[in-house]
Amino acid sequence: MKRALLKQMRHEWRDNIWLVLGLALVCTSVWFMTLKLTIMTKGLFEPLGADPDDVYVLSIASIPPSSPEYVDAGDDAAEANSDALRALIANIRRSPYVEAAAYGANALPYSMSYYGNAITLDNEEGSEMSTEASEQKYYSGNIRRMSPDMVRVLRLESLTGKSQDDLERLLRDGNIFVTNIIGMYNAALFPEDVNGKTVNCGGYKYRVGDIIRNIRRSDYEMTNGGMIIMPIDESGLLNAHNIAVRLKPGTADKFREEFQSTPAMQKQGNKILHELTSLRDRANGMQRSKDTHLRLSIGLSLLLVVIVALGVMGVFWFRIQQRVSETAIRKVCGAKNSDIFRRIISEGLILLTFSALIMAAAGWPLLKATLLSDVNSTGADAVISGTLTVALMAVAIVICIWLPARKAIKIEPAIAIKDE
Amino acid sequence: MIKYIRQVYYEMRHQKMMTWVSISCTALAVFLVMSYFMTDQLSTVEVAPESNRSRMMYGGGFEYRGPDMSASGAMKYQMIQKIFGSLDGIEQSAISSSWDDNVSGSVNGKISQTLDLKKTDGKFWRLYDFDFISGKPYEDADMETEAKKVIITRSVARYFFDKDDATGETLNLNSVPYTVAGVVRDIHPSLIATFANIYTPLSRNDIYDDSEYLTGGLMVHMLRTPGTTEESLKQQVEQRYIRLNQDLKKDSVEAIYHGAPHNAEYLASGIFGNWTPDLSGEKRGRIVAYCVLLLIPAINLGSMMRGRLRHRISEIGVRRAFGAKRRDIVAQLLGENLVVTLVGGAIGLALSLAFMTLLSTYFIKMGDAGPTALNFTSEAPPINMLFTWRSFAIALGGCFLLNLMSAFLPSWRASKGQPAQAISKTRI
Repeated sequence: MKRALLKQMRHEWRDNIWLVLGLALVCTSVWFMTLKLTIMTKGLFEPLGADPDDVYVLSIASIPPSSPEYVDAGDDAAEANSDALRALIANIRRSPYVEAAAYGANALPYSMSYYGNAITLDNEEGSEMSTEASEQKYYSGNIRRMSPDMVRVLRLESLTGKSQDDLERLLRDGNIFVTNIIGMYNAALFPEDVNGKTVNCGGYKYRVGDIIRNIRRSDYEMTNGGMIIMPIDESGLLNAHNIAVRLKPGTADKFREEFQSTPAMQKQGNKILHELTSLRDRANGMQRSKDTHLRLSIGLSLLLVVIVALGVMGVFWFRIQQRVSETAIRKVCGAKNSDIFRRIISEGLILLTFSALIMAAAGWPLLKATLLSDVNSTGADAVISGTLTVALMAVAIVICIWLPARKAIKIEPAIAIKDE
Repeated sequence: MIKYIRQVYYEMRHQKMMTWVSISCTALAVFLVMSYFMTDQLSTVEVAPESNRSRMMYGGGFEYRGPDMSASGAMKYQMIQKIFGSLDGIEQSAISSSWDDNVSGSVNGKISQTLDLKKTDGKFWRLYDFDFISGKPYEDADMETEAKKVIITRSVARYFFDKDDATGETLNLNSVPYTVAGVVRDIHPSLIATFANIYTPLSRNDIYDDSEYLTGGLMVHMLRTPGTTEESLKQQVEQRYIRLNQDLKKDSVEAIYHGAPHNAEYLASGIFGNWTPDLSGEKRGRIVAYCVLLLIPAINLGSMMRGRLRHRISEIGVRRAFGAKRRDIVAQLLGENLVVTLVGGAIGLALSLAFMTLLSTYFIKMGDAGPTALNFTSEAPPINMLFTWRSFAIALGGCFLLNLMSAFLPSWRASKGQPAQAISKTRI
């Protein structure tokens, strides 16, 4: 049957070649978009390094001297501002809906800060390495500063089995944390090399207390480089961007109401807390362009598949009409409905096979020159997305040929060939 | 035309399924092309308050490198005057903050809200045609006197004061009382140069910034006179950079020229201090996208057209036998196909307008506004930003192009056959 079918398809080469070209163009476009989505969404399957549910963020603002409410503390302004921040967080912690609250500066996920630094092993403790060697080696990472309670707010995860209480205590004692690294991105020292050691960072000495899971900047970002978690001392001079609060599940509305109706939670001295937003909302705002891009690419790919599938359906509809007599004769000669059905579906799938070959030949160089040059992409991604594309097209074609094929198997031989 | 419509109607009755498949294919193709086009034109379409967008130029980024310090960011007031001041071919110019601030807005008895604040000079209000519902703009003199005046959008007025005419009311911004000087209609977030929830005069600090850095937090908006090219402005600015670098040479500092000033399209792609925007790649991508979006349905519709013509081979033969010329046959077939394409095109255009108005915010990011700024504005673009004569012409042109691409070749081939062969259905 296959040989006869191929022969018949060869006879209709003029129509088939256009169909194959159309399918190949859609296959290549969809392949391109599928691979783009594959690369873009890889990060979605990695842990975020923090639990953003029930976490709310309050931005810290200062009352300017031009305000009638400005409190002039003279030379003690820095201490007065720190006291105001301490009073604000104390009032927030008093709320019955709050589980934990902490200060942060670039501490939270969904913040695109790339501010970073490098840490080197302290020479005095510098293991067996020579001075020269230890000077050359460094662990680099983005700086995230947080007060100890942030461990509970974000539910940070130790990769060495330490509990959250242990992590909190380590931060309170002035330790810093490093995070896991995937790949060798700018790292000559690995987290394991510095864990438990005294290190230099920005001219100060610290002890690395633990290795924790990387807090990613967005759901889409892949873990590459490292991160350095620095402690904010709540009892000293405070320099923070925001206050993060973990609320008890289901109490967000009540907390919002309480916050809005309690001036003491909003203003102390020259410091104001405002912009109460959930971390999820911040994520949605920050990742909008990626989220919308993702939806758009999926929608566009599906629409292109629908358009080409409609075209295939139209062509096959005409073919079935044209082959009424042929189908009737086949039936008279003993062909079952399933044979007729299979033949038509096979025709569509053979056309798709040719298109897939063109897609592979034309698409591969295109992908290599564009998407596959991305550091996060691999050849395997291209193969998987190509296979997915062909599978999606096959499903669409089978669904669209179904209708004309059903029409073909309903042909009554006696009626169809009565004119012949 | 009537005979084409009649023929299409006849076909519709006898080939219902196929006519609807053709119309659906065309509608989806036009829907895709138009949605893409409308999204694209959001960064350049001319609507109030940015009615002269095609003549607007912007300068916002500044980068310098020195022995002790290198930095990039937005611009200082003095640097803007040095680089963009009194350029030939500039009709008007204004200065605003380069990025918007989030401030806490409060009024007694109302829950405080975070508002998106843009600081501007007084000329900003003459450069752009904001629609004032009440009140009037502030002036340049208000910057010098640090007047606590604020212009708010209608949504902000309605939230805080329960009325549109809120002029004269007091709104606290980070606990500083400001008097509402005027209320303007809400601005769509894709109008990046003008979008904000509230506007205040630039402060003396913004103007007389005497920090050691050469970068600041401001950007300049300029309106070209008709006939002045972007290129001539760029050349003047490049010359200013050369002069600036001669002055900076004594400190071994060099300012890096990144092709400023930029047009609205560049502004939408983001102007950063250390980055020369390159839109050629984006333009190439756009051309490829339009080609793919038209080519796929054209190939599809062409295949269907060939199938349809097989059924009409005898009819074509008879017409040829009665003396119809090939061009008559081709014109007849193209005309019929055009009717189907126009019907599909109209459906596609309606679909794209509905999509852009109702669903686009789910699929397309409009402007750079953050989530809190969007509390006071509708993100869905208004119809006057979507349906312009240009978009109508594109839709119509797309239909003609699609019609030609899909129907010309099959019609030409169908008209080629000999009448005798065609009538006996031996060839098409």
